[in-house]
Amino acid sequence: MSDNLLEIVDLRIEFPSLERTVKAVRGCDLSVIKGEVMGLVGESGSGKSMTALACLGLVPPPGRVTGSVRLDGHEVVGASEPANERLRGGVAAMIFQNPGKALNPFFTIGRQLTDALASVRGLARAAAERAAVEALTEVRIADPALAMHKYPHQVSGGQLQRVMIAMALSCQPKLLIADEPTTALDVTIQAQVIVLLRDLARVHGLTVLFITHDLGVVGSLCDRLAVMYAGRVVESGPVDALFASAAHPYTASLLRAVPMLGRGRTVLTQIPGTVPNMAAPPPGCAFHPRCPFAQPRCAVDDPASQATAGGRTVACHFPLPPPAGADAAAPAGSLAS
Amino acid sequence: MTRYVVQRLILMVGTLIGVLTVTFVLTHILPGSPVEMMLGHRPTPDQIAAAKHQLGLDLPLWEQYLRFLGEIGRGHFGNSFLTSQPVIQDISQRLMATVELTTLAMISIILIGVPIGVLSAVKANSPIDHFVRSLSVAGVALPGFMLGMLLQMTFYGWLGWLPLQGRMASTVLLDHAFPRVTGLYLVDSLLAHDPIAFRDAAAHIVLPLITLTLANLPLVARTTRNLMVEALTEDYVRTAFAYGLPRRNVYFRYALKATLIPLLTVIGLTYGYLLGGAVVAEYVFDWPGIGSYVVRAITQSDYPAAVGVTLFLAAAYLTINLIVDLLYFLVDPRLRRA
Amino acid sequence: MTAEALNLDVALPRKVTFAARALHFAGQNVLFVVGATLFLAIVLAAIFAPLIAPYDPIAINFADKLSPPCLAHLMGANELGQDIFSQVLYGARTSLMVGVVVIGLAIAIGVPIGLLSGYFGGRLDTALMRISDVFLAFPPLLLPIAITASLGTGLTNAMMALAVSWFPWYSRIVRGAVMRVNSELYIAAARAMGVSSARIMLRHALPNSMTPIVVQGSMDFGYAILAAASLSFIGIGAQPPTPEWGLMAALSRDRFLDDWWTVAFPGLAIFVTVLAVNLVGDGIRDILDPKHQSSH
Repeated sequence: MSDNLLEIVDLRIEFPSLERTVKAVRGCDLSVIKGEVMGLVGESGSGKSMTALACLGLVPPPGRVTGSVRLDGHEVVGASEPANERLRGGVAAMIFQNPGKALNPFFTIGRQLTDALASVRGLARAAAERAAVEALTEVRIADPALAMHKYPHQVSGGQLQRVMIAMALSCQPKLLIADEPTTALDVTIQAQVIVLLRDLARVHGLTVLFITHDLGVVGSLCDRLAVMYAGRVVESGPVDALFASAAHPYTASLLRAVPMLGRGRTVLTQIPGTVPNMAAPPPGCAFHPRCPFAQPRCAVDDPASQATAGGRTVACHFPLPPPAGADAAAPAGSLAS
Repeated sequence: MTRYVVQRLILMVGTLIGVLTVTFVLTHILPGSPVEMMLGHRPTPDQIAAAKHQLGLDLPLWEQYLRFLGEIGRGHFGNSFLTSQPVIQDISQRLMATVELTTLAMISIILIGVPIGVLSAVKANSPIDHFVRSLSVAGVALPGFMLGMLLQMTFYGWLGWLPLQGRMASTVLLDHAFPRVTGLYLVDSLLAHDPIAFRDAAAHIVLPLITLTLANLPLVARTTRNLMVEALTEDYVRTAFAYGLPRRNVYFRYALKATLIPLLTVIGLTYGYLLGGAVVAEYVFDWPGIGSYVVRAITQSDYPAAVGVTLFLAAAYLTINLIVDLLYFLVDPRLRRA
Repeated sequence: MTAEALNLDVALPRKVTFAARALHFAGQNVLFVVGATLFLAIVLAAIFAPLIAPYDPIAINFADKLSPPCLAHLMGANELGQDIFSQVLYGARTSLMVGVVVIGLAIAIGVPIGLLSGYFGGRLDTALMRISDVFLAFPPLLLPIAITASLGTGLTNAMMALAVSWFPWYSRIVRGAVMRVNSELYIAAARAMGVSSARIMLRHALPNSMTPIVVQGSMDFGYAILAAASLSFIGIGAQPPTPEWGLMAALSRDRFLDDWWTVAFPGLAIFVTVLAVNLVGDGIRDILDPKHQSSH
């Protein structure tokens, strides 16, 4: 498995307190192959952000992390802080959801970029500044030299996200972890940023782990996809295959809930119920209270993740069958009503 | 920003006039007449009347007030009843003693208090944190004069390591007269290459310095801690960690900067507490500064001195606060008009 | 679609008994519990001073002059032969009273000013705030010194002076709360209905500022005691024969190097009292002001 840049096995993250223990991640298995763009999809509370943080050893206290996260062969869970510091930025770089809050308002953009460069690549001031300007140019910031002297509050949200991407890029990481980078942006800007990310990944041969709750974004950007629900990966596989025939009922419901232009007026189907309370998840399969196909077994046995054909996995006792008639152009059972 | 400064200065003048008014009211309510004291041995009623007339104390109150304002405006603070010197001269002679003490205390408080606060925040809720917080709570409860006397008892009475009081031993002062360049004995003795004088000055300043520092250290340490704990939850701190910035860097540059504005406010406040604390400390250690001067002036009805020093101290305090407010602009780029 | 599909998964917290909860509270707030216990002890000592004190605090007895702590005089005697332990006990009454009076007065002055200032705003606000600024411009002990020196020394004047120099803090707190409340929609509605200003201020603005005032007041209680003791020490506050801890230290100041108990015990009394009060104050603040909770 040496061409897995990221290998997560049975990751569990808990937040204990006196009255309850919140299990944010309850056994997540995920692997990201070198060179691919992997999407990680889930609603808020599914544990996807925590999984991302765990990749770099950034889970905040009082979080307790168990399991295995191998980043380029290095084990992150339980590793010493200096060991993880060496991985951060250089092996994997992370960009965050709200760039306005993720950048320090008291320092100029240039300063923050050069600080990161000095820390990750050990560059001296002049070299770091050059590299920073280069990165800013690559992310298509107008007048990068001027931008270096600006403070975050003087720059728009979309631009700031480009700055974050520049910061990540300049560190020349192997893996780029993007935690909902477009969620806080306007729709038009979103598109720009996504296109930018796609182009950059291709040019630099970056591996990307793209975390989002927006399936539409996944479709245009990602090669493979993993779906998380209640702290576990319920399904994973190539994007086209999943979109064509989702095996897990949750994935299928998600796909049905995506509004599509040009299909006329269709009823937006919601998934009834709400996300489970992570301090006391339902017994058996966590999705069973909301699953239209639930059987008695689902309330008792928590399904393990099973590998299926075509490099896919699914964690369900009764996965949905592929649509009859291999008509990949009209995805059945999901998008057509 | 210049407009802001000008506005603040105008406000300051207004406040100072208010301070003057309050001081005037206070010093002229006192029934006891300062005149008798000034004239010393039993004065005759004529002498008293003459003196009063000379001092303008027989005019109606509101006229006295206007005269008073006028005099102050022209910088005439008059002569101290007790020293018969111009008040301004008294102040300038004693000012640097207090400045030396309070400034050193302020520096010590910052250099010790802030790192302790940061450490406490980084290891929040650990035994170290609890220990520091306990010490802080205890430190604030100890009265300044008690701490001072305790130190005297220990280091002079019992161990005999340090002098009891004063700024320098009179013997040393006589034999080692060094030129007063800044008025700060520690600096001046160094400039004059006089190690004996320096050691003596240092030995004398240690105890009052510790007294002032310990009394006000807890507030700065606790404020730093609480502000840091909040700052550490900010997203940009997480970003800094995500790029492998070394911990020390992240704490003292990235996170600490976020705490500076409220922290500066507390430091300004602390300076005020230091000025107040200096009054007590100078009393305990017989330190020849403005603190002991103002106590004597007020308790012995030395009006001109009392007015002069009060006004001076209020102005100094207001200026410090103004400087602190201006520092905000330096610290937070969001406040500057782009 | 079963009914289960719509079930709201509410996680029941583990069953925590009252005893466990109380213990947890005590564990999280050890200092508060310690402080409250101490404070209670001090209050009881103050109340029952006449019963506990072995001697009349001002009874002079040259025979026992300057005796060190022993069985007859638990904390020793001063140069007049007065029993220090008894003086310390009665001093507790004085100090507790000082705390209550100073903070009470400061609140009594500051709250109305803050209410008027915040509610009416405009020129009244500016005027009142400028006046407050004057009082805030004096470095902490200076104004009380000046006021007591002009009105005459003595504990009463000292207390009034301290209250006068502290009220601006309380008026600020109240003013802030009032201004926040003022902008609420329901106030505009009340005014439109013709509710009088006084009623609005009292019924809506005031309760909103109660919490910060209580927090501030409980923290200032200790400072008031300290300040009064310091004033007495310089000779401006309490005068003999009032039993006051700062005054006791001042009277014995010249002897403290040899007869340490004359100064140490009053000083210790101040320390313990202010410590207890501060611990309680911190605890109150932690409970009432969730922002300050460190671990949660």
